[in-house]
Formats: sequence, structure tokens, C-alpha cells
Amino acid sequence: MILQSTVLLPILAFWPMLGALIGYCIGRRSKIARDRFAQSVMALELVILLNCAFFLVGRGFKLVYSMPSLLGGLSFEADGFRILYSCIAGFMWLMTTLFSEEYLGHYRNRNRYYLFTLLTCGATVGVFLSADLITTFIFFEIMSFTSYVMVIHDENPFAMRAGQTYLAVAVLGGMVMLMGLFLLYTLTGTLVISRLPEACAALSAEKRPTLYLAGTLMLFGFGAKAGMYPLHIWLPKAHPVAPAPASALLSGILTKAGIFGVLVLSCIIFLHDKNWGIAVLSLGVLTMFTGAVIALFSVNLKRTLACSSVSQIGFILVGIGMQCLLGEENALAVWGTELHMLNHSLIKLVLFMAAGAIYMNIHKLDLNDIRGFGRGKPLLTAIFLSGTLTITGIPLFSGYISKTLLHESIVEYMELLEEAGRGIAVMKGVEWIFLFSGGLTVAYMTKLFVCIFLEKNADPALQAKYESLNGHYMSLRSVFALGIPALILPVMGCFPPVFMQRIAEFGQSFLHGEAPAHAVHWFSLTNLKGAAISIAIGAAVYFGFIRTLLLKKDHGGVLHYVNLRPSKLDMENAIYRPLCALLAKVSVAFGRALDITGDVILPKASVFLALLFSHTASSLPDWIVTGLRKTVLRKIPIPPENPEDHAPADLAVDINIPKEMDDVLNDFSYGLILFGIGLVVVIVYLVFHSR
Amino acid sequence: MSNQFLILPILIPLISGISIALLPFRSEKSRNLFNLTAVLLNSFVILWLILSRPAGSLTLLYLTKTLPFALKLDGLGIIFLGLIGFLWPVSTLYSFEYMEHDKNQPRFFSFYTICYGVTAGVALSANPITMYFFYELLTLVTVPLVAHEGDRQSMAAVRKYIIYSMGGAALSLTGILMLLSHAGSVEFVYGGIGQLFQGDSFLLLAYLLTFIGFGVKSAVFPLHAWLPAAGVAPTPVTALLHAVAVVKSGVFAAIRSTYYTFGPDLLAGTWAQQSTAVAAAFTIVFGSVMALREQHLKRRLAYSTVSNLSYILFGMSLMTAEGLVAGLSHMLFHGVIKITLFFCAGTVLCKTGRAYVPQTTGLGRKMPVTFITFLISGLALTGTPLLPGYISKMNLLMSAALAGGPFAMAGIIALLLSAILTAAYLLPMGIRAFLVTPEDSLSFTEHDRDPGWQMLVPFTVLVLTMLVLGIHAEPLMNALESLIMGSV
Repeated sequence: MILQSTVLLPILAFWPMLGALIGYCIGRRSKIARDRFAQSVMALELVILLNCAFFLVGRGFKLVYSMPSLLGGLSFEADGFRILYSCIAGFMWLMTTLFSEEYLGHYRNRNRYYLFTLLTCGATVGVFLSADLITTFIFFEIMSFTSYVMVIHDENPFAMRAGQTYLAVAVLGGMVMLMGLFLLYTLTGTLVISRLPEACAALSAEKRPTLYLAGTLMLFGFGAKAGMYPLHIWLPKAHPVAPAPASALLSGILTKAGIFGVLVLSCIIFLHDKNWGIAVLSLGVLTMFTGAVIALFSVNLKRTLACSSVSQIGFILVGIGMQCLLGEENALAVWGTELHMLNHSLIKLVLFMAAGAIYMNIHKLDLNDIRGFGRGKPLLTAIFLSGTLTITGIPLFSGYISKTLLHESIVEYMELLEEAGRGIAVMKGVEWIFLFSGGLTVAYMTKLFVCIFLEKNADPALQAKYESLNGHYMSLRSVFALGIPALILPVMGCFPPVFMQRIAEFGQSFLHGEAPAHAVHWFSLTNLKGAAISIAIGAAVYFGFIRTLLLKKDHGGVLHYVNLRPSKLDMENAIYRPLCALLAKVSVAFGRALDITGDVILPKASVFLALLFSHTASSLPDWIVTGLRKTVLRKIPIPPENPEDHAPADLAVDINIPKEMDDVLNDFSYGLILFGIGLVVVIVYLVFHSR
Repeated sequence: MSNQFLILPILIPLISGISIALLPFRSEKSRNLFNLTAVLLNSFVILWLILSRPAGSLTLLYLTKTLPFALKLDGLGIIFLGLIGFLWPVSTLYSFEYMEHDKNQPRFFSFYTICYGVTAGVALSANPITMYFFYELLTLVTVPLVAHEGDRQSMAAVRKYIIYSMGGAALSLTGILMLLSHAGSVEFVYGGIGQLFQGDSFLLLAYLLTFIGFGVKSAVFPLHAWLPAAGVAPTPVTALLHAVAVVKSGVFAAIRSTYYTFGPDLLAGTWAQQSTAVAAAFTIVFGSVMALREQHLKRRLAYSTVSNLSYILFGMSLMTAEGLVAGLSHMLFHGVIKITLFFCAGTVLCKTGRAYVPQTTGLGRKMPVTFITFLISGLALTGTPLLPGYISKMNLLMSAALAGGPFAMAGIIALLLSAILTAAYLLPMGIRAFLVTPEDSLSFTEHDRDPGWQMLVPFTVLVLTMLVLGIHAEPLMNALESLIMGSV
């Protein structure tokens, strides 16, 4: 590996940002010029990326660049995986930007949309190209804030609420992640990704728990962005409300920025760490299953796709967990993870843009409304079918390859466990949940496809209107943007050794993947069996559950898709929001109490203490006098011995002092006054005497 | 060059401030022109002094044989002087438009300008007694500004302000006198007297008294209550004095006493250091929580100041050079950010009469420049990359991570919690101003629009400064590092 310093890396991150600002200025003058400019910005970005991928990284160079003076120090690095994922990001942005032109044709605030979309592009590429975790964090935060504007683009109440959740999770996740970063830094003294494996391996055993804590905190931040259970709550809300091209980006690539962080944690910091692997695997299984179940119940096209994203992220997390557990034999898990990430990005690009093609024509997304829209539209059918077949893992499509690899890695781990003579019941369970989730994927995608492309709408007038759109529902540019990624999927799937294996090998060094022990037989019978089981489960669920329970006849006897999911099950409204509100209330009440203590009691107490002190001090002499008078200076009354001894009345000096003056004369202060007068007299005497 | 000129930054505002009150100006315009010229002149003198760096100190008189009343310009002084020298002209320009319908303008501008000199005096002091003198004077000259409105509310605020400030000053004077009786005459030098008196618990007590005393102006819990109350003053006062000059004088004095008088060698690892760290970490979270609760915009910003001042104090309490540099960077950046936030709040208050956060819903579309400025500075204070708050917070976190130990860890958690809370109390308001349509009860009038050039110029200058500092802070950080070490 030859290190090559090149300024191309920061340019890759900052060029879209610069393009965003220039595009904004252009957009104030001409809309068409702005659209063309944004498209060329992304095209150039993709060209530079491909150039880096083929001519530099592909020839064994590792690209690095550091900018110590910018933003407190940025450093970039590009190896196979990083440049691969940056290329995918560039490709997705180019395609969505091409599609945006028609989709956003009648939208308001388009200039703002382009500005923030391109800024997000730069930030996302920056995340993938970052060489240290601080750089990752910087671009991650920029990405969170700029993509917020993509989410709330429609500015309706749903979008605002989803945006609120999105921003809250992003800020919270970012800060918790930062906490983990600093904990990691105190442990290892470095945040440079390439130095972390040795630094973490060198840690002593008693520091390991702290490292797990740091890892958990960071997983919170990255997992929140990836849509990992139980932090996935924002995802099914935020992705559907954004404009379709933005949904594709959010689902397809921004979640992968979170996965990138999970990969850094699992393949670099906790390399081959079994405990960590079990944790990630469990979260992955939960995510995979939960996402598939809520997707099954959803009756909104984009919401189903968003829930499906949660589920697919779960598949990827399972792969990441498996590669931790497999240790040195991680080849299949690493390849599976990588390829499923790639597939999911492309699938969601295709499916969300297809959903966008529907929405831009009829402005509806509910399954009962859009039912039958796809009839007589072979191109859209083919595009959607390509995405559907890929995500369900049908052979000859690329999704089959990655799902098979993931499945095989589970099987391989069970073989290893059996060799070591340990129980495999748990892993068997994981395998079945994996296959069952795959089956659910088949079921909900069939539901979508049948509904949109095969069935007729309940309202014949609407159906006629939909069919009148045939042939002119999409511009040529949009067809290109949707068609290219839809075409890539089967091409890659048909020739796995040519495309998939090469791509996997290109990126495996970042994940510390080893070469597999033997060549993979892509279409062998055992591998096809896994796909067949999933399809069988999917068919069973579709006919046994969806067609019977989720399709109900209304009064007119027409079948309707119904939403059986109780609204109370929403984790965000049931748990997170009340919890946050409670926390805020408690802390505010506590703070208020302290504030009152500080503001009222403190001054009063200090004034009281001061008064007490001065009062005590001033009356102390009086007390002394009183005390003395009661003890030492007590007047001893002399009892008259003989009444006849009394002096004659005329001899007695009768000083008639009033009773009130008695107190004054007995007072210490009176003495002091007299002393003062005496002092003055003495001084006056001295002054005159010295003359 | 001769160091006689060190007196100039104190004298120019003093004389011109008195002239503003006494001279019969023909019109408001000519008085404003005179005022701005004087303030700009003073800033240029400060710039010239910073560039030429006069060596040695200027002793004005001797209080006793060993206790001089002296001025000098060292690295720390340059940092503080530079901050106020940059912000004073900007906010003077802003206050012209803000105060244009006020009756007592000569009094206001007179004291506003005099404060410049007194704050410069705090920055230029060469020893604790001189600094104490200017510090106490600063309380007195700001009293007419806080009480400017003259109504019951501002009188109550002023009473609180005086009681807290005087009480604090008395404590710090006690601490300084204890120090002087113990260690003889002391001049500000980096490292202080710490090496000579390691483990001296009498001095630790003296330090703690000084810290509590200066903690009043830097609004450490539980001595913070005067700051939100003082928000009744006109916005230029709240913005410049209660976000920068007065409160930063408190922080500056605390830093002076910590690093340049008592010295980190004496304090590091002692209970005195730990209590300052705990107080700062607690105040960081406390201030943010209170800001989240507060619905009055200016008071919310005041609580945010309470929290952010303790960021600086927390950096200081680490007793390392990195911690000090990080704290100072936050002192500079927070000064610029918070003054901008206050300016935005003040513009909304003076143009539309809206003082509460919910009333600003939807106002962003009417006053785009004001609210974009607000949003940018809100993001900056939250700590978004590309803006300065990120740099200083990252520095603070890094230096805390380097220092290690349970107290530093507690501080890291407090900082991050507070960052989340900052996002929660600033960003929704900025977003709602643009994206939410207000209810009918908040209907707008034709007065609800962006202000004139005298307010827009400060906005532009400050936002540009933020962007430059946020993207390319490296030279400034290097300068800070070299400045605090050198004693010229």
C-alpha cells in the first residue's frame, strides 16, 4: 500500500458545498441554469470519484490528506471501502439531482432544496473520507443539520413534527457520540482511525469495560443515524415526508453514514471482539424483525419503503455482528455486509424514485388511492420490479448475492460452534428469524407490487384517469435517472464473480476482511435453498395474512387495504416524548427550586447572619457589663442594723435621679461617653499644654 | 516606546463620556458622530498598543510603599482588550438606532462610553489592587445604565445588582488582602506565586474567597441571580455589558487571580480547584436548564450566558495551559456570539415590541436578516462545525480529556448535556420563526420588518467574524497560546 497525499480528497468534500453556494446564487436568476449547474456539479464530483477509484485506489495507492489549520484539524483518507462508498454517494446524488428537476417542477423553495441537498452531499462524502473520528464527527454533524432542511421541505405539520424528532435524535445522538469519542480519547490517546486497532488492542483488561462504555456511547450516535432499534423511531416518519429524491438519499445513503460509524466501531475498535459481536447481532436481529413487521402493516407506499429500510439496516447489522463473532473466518460476513450496503443503497434509490414518479403525477401515497396506478406502464413496472426482486433476494438479482452471503456466514458460525462442541440453538434461532424476516420482505413487497401494478383501483373513474397518463407520466431525463440504477441491479446479480466479488474484494481491507477459505459457489443448491425458504415463507404470509386479514371489504363490497397497526404502539409517542417531557419537567423544577434558593434564601440568610453578627457584636459589651454587675460588681445590700443609726434627714444629700436615668447611668455606653469626653479633655489639654 | 500611553484607553472614553453629558451638542446626529469617533479612536489606540506592545508597567501612584497603583499590557490583557476594542464600536453603532426614541440619551451614552474606559482599566491593571479598583468602579458606572428605564422593575434589578456585586467585591477584597498580608506585594505574572507557597492552606482559603467574589460577576451558581434580573436594562447594555464587558471582567479577574496571582502550581489537585470545577460544571447544566424553561427571550439569553460563562471557568479550573487557552477561546467566541444573539433579540423587541419566545413564531419571514443572524449565532452557540462555538467547545473538551480525572469527566458530561440543551432552547425558536405560520393573535403590522443600516452593519460584521473564526481559527488559537505564556 503506497501512501499518496492528494488534495483531491478535501476537494471531493468541499466541491459540492461550494457548488451549493454558487448554485444558490445562480438560482436567484434562472431556475433552469441552476438545475443544469447542480447536475454538472454532481457529474463532476462523480467523475473525480471514479478517477480516484480506478486510477489511484485501484492501483494500490492509499490516498491521504490532512488540513491541520481548518476547523481545528481535518484529515482525509481514501482506501477501497471509503472510495467505493463515496462513489455510491456521488452516483446517488447525480441520479436524484437528475430526477429532482421534474419531481420538484412545481415546488416552492427549490433553491433552498438544492442548496441543502448539495451541502449534505459534501458532508456525506466527508464522513466517508474522514481519517480521524473528529473529522467524521464534524461532517456527521453538518450532515445532520443540512439534511434536516431536506426533511422539512414541505413545511406541513407532519413534516415539521417528523423534522422535530429527526433533529432531536440527531442532536442527542451527536452529543452522546461525542461523549464516547472523548472517553475513547482518554483511553487510547488517539482518534486516528488507522491507529485505533493497535491502540485498542494494547489496552489492559481492566480498561476494557471503559472501552465498552465508550463504544456503546458512540454506537448510540451512529446507530441513531442508521436507524438501529430502538433509535429507529424517527426514520419511518422523516423519510416519507421528504420529497422523493430526498427520501432516496436519506434512506439510501445517510443511513449508511451511520453504518460507516458502526463499521469503524465493530471492525476497527472492537476487531473480532465476541461480546461486541453478540451485542450488535442482537440489535441487528431486533431491527431486522421490527422493521419488517411494521412494513407489513403499513398502508402508505413511502412509509412501507422507510420501514423496509429499517429492516434492511438490521440485515446489515447482523452481518457486522457476524464478522465480529467469526473472527479470522469473517470473509463471507464482510462481503455480505459490504454488498448488502451497496444493494440497499441502489434498491432504495430505485424504489423511492419510483414512488416519486407516482407521487409527482397524482400527489397521493396511500395504497388505496394509488392502487392500479401502474397498470399499462411497462417501464415503471420493470423499474419497480427490479427493485422488488433485488430487495427480496431473488436469484439473478444482486440482493440474492448479499443475502446469501449473510445467511452463509450464520451457517458457517454454527459449523464453527459445532466443531468447538458448543450449543447452536441460539444461532439456529437467529437463522430462522433471518429467513423469516426475508420472508416478510417478500410479503410486503408483493403487497406493494400487486396493489400498484396488478390490481385495479376501487374507483373506476380514478383508474381511467391513471390509465390516461400512460406513456407521458415521466420525462426522458427521469426515465434515465430511474432506469440506470434499475438496470445495474440484475446486471450485477447475473455475473457475481465479475461485479460483486470484485467490489467486495476492493473494499474488504477497511473491514479487516480475510480472503475466503474456498471459492464461493454463488448458485449452488444449498445457497438457493435459503432463498427458496424465504420465498415460501413470504408466499405463506402474503396469502395467509395479508390477503385475509389486511384486506377488508367495505360497504360496497370492494376490497380495501386496512391499517391494523394500533396507533398506541408508536414508541415515539408512547415512550420517548413523555420521557423527554418528564425529564425536562423534573430538571426544570429542580433548577427552579435551586434558583429560588439562590435568589431568595441566600441574600436573606446572609443579611440575617450579618445582622445577627453585628447585633451580637454591638450588644456584647452590654452583656459583659450585665454579667459583671450580676456577679463581681453586685451591689450587696447592707441591712440596716439599727433603725436609730439612721442619719438625720437634714444631713442626707438627696440626689433626686429619675428612675429612667438609672438605666442610662448603669449602661456601658454611658461609661464610654464619659470616657470619650475625658479623652477629648485630655487631648485639648495636651494640645494647649504643648504650646 | 514609552509606556505612558497605557493610560490612554482609560482616559479617552472617560473624557469623551463626560463631554457627551456636558457639551451642548446641536443635534442628536452630531453627538452620535462625536461618540462614535471617540469610541473608534479609542479602539484604534488599543489596536496600536496591542501591535506595539509597550514593555514594562506604568506606575501612577503608590498606595503604600510596596503597593503601587500600576498599569501594564501583557498577553491576557491583550486578549480581553482586543475583545472589547472590537465589540464596543459595533455595539455603539447598534445602540444609536436602538435608543433613538429615548429621552435620556446623553446620560445613557455618557455612561456607556465611560464603561469602555473602566473595562479597559480592568484589562490593563498590573496587580490585584489596581484591578480591584477598576472592577469596583465598573459596578458603579454601570448602575445608571441598568437603572436607565427608571421604573420599579429596573430599580429592583439595580438593587439586586448592587447588593450582589458589592458583596462579591468585599469577599474578593478580603481574599486579596489575605494574599497581600501573606505574600507581600504581588504583580500579575503567569504562574503567580504558586511555586513558592505550595500546599499553603491559608492561601487556598484566600483563593476561594477571591473566586467566590469574582464569581458574582461571572454568575456562578448560586450567585447568578442578578444577571437575568438585569435584563430589564436597554438591550445595548444587556448585550455589551451583561454578555461581554461586565461578566467577562468577572471571568477575566478570576483567571487573573487563578493563573497570574495564586498560580496553578498552588491550586492544582487541591480542594480549592475541585470546588471551582464542581461549581462551574454544575452552573453549566443549571444555566442551560433554566434557559430552556424561560420564555422571556432576553432572560433566556441571560441564563444562557450564566451557563456559558461557566464553560470558561471550567476550562480555567483545569489548571492547565490547554484549559486556559480553551477557556479564553470560548471567552472570545462567546462574546461575539452572545452579543449577536442579544442584538437580534433587541431588534425584535424595539421594532415589534415582542419580548417572549412564542411571539416570534413566523416572524422570520418578516425580518429575514434578523432571524437568519439569530439562527446562525444559535447554531454557533450550540457548537455546529464551521462556526466558532464548535472550535472552543472542542478545545474545552479536548483539554478536559487531556487533564483526565473524575472532575474533568464530570465537566465533559456537563458540557455535552448543555450542548443538547442549547440546541433545545435556541434552535426551535429560530426554526419556528421561519417555518411555522403564526396564529391570528400574533398578526403582524407594517412595523415588523428588518431594521436600518445602523443595526444591519453590526449584524453583518459579527456574522462575518463568526464565519471567519469558525472556519479558520488556527492563527487565533496559536496567538492565544503564545500570548498567555508571555509576560511581555
